[in-house]
This record gives sequence, C-alpha cells and structure tokens, in this order.
Amino acid sequence: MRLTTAISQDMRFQFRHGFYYVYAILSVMYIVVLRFLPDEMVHSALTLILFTDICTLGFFFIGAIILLERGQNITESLFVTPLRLSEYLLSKSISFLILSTLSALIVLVGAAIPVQNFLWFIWGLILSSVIYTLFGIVFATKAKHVNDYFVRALGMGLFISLPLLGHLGLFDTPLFYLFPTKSTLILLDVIGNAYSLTAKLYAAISLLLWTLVFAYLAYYRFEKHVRHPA
Amino acid sequence: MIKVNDLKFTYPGNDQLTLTGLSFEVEEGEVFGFLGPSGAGKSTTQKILIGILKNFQGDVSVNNQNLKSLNSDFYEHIGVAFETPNLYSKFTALENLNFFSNFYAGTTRDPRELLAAVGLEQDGNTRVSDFSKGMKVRLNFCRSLLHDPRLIFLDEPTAGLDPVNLRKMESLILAEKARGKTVCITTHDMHVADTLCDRVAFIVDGHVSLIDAPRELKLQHGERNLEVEYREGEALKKDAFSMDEVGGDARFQEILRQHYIETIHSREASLEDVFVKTTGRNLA
Repeated sequence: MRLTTAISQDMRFQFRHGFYYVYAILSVMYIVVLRFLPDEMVHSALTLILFTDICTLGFFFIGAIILLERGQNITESLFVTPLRLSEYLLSKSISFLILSTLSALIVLVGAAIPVQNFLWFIWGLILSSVIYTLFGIVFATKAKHVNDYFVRALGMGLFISLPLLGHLGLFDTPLFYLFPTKSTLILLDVIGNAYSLTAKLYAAISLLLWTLVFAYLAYYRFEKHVRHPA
Repeated sequence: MIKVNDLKFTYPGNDQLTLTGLSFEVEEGEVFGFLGPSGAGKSTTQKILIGILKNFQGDVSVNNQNLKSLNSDFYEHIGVAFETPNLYSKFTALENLNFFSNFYAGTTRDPRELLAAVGLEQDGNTRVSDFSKGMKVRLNFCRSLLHDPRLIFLDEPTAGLDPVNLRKMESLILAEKARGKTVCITTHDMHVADTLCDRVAFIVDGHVSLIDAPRELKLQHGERNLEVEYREGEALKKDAFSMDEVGGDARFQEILRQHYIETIHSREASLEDVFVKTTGRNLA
C-alpha cells in the first residue's frame, strides 16, 4: 500500500510537472526521425536515442525532483510517516521506469521497427532505467541546487558513458565491459543486432549486479545526507 | 510518554555540543512546551525526539520506544507539524491529505473534517501553491493529525496566523489534549506557551534551565502586590498594595469607596519576565 501510494504520487507529480507531455512530444519526434532514416541506420540510431535519453531520463530529472522535494520540505514530512527509505527510492525508480518503458514502446511501435530478442531488450531497459535513476540519486543527495547536481553528476556520468565510443565505432577496449553502460548498450542493441548468448548473459547479470550496487549507494547516501543528516 | 536523560548532541563539524545534557520527562496527556531563543537547541531536541537526528548520546525513549532502536511502526503513533509547511504545492489540499493518509496502517481521520476544523473547508480543492502562509500552517497541522496520533509534535504552530486563526489553532490543540493526546510544542511565543502548556521547559545554550507549570512560574517570580489605577478628579493615579494585607488596608478601602477605579491587577510576573530573570536571556 505504501509503495503503490508513493509510486502513484510520483507519477502524478511527474504528470503535473509536464514530464509526460514532454516525452509524448519527444517520442513523436523520435518516430519521425527514425522513419526518415535509411533502414541500415535505424537500429543504431534507436540504441543511441534510448541510451542518451529515454532509458536515462531518470538521471536527468531525479536531481531536480529531489531538490524540489527538499526545497518544499516534502522529504522531511515523508520520513515522519511509516514510509521506508527503500520504498521511497523504489518508488522514484519505478515511476521513471514506467515513463521510460512507455516512451520506448511508443517509439518502437510508432517507427515500426522490427524487433528481436525482446525479453533481453526489456530486461536491459528496465534495469538500466533503474540504475541511472539511482545513479542520479547518489549525486542529488548532497547537491544544493540543480546546477550543483549536474556539476557533481555530469563528470561521472560522462565517464561511465565512455562505452558509447565503442558503439559509435570511434574507440573500443575490453575494459568497457567493466562499465554498466556497456551492458546497457548491448541489451538495448539486441533488438536489431545479433549478440552471442554469452554477451547477453554477461550484460543481463552485470546490470543486475550494478543495480544492487547503485541501490546500496543511493540508500546509504540518502540516509546519511538527507534522512538523518547528522 | 517521553523520557530523556542526559541528552547530548553535536552536529558534524562543530566543536561545541549543541545539546549539553538535557533531562526531562513528558507525561501522557499533557501539553509540554519547549521555550527558548533561536539557536538554543529546541529544534535539535525535537528532531532527536522524532527520530531524524541519530547520533546522540544519552537515553531517549518516546512512546515507550528507545530511539536508539526504533522499530518501523514508530511513526504510526506520532504526528509532526514542522515550522515550515511541507506539502506538494502543485497538488490540492485534499490531494495532499489523502496522499499522506495512505501511508498509515490504522484508521485515519476524514481529511474534510480536519479541513473544516481549521476553517479550510472551502479550500480542499485549491492547490497549495495558492495558499497563504497561514493557510499552509493550518493544512500542515491537519496533516499531523491524519492518523490520530497519540503524541503530536508542533513546531511554532501559530507562526503566521492571524488573531482569529490563532485562537482557533489554540482551541484545536486544547481539543487534542482533551482527547487524551500528548502534545509537544516548540515555540518562542510566550503567549502560546502560557495559554496552551501544562508545563514548559526553558532551553538555553543546549540545556534545560527550568521546568514548571507557567502559572507556578509566574506566581513564584512575581510580586504579591495588587496594582490599582483610579481617577482623582481629572488625574489618573496608580497605587500598589500588598496582597497579604490588602483586606485591612485603610488606603485601599478608601480608594475603592471614593474614587473611580479604572483597573485592578495582581502583579504576577509574565512568562517572559520569568524567562529573562531565570536565564538572563531574551527570547528574540
């Protein structure tokens, strides 16, 4: 009950602040772009769109949301109710996951993109969305305003996005497999390109482990800097 | 209801203790006030009592739970209204109250009735962003009562209220006391403390300097004198008489018989006088 209440409120909060309108418009724009691209470029472009925006939108917005909630003193009133911190973090992650998934599916269907390995893709989309929201929370806990959040988060965000260079064919190294983003890129790309079962399994398990790592970090940082700040 | 023994607390990065060894108890069903100037440690004490600040020294139990080992239903039975209203501004008053009430396992009070009690019955469907400061304070108070808690913490509950709503808020707090609830009020408003509190604790420089009932404090620290203002012709005159001898005081009797009396007051101290006298500090 507490978790569903929190998720429902987070989704309504995102709706009231226009997130759903913005992603409805963006999704249509992506569909138009993908429909005009040559067939051989569509899957690569789709992976890029999902990776840089739809799948990682939680990272871009969670900082502002947490700062807004802290600014309106909502977090302190939430944590004098029986709501657990784990439920609060889960709610934030799931609400962005729903927006990411809806937007991704609309783009896939609207652009009429042929799909293979759908379950692997969805696994990658879900875990990646959760990871990047949690990643944002890790940095949002100490930020004082939105610019501060991006200064703190963007450097690390760009660093862990280095495997994108490999996806774009600019630079590649096996070390990229140590990054969560490499696994994200593999599982977002499986709908259009063939990957070995080993690669898919590696990516799926690695994302699960990264989710646990970022869940712990987000919980620890939130507990220390926001919920019990001394 | 609340037992605090030798509570000490330091904020990270500070060399000095913010709380230097507080000890007090709050009985079930009483309205207890924490009084003190800004920075005295009132809010820090309240944050510890509601489980927000953790790394304290000493023994603290609230609602029979040791705060060093809180279990998850602690917040089912305490209600908190912070000084700064904390609500979703893009949501209506009713949406906010319905949202918060869904977090509680037990029966909750009807948000519409609570809104009516604080005079916001016409504003349930208004967004909080359109509320004035005083309306937000009243809505915040409703939020703290949603789950009908046994123990209520109110931080500056009358800040920003006009005189009519101030009276209304005071009567609502007293109504909660009449329902058997325990209320802890943090304030620097002597009138609020005097009107509402069964007992007050003066907090200065991180320690409790005095705890007693406001009435007792005012009597103990006042003068046992009666002050009379009266007219003698056109002139306004003033005289003071010992209360212990006033019954047989010939001058007092004469004033009563022969002059037009404008005021008669006993000269007990105000709570603010007691605070200044006993702590050497002002409340501002």
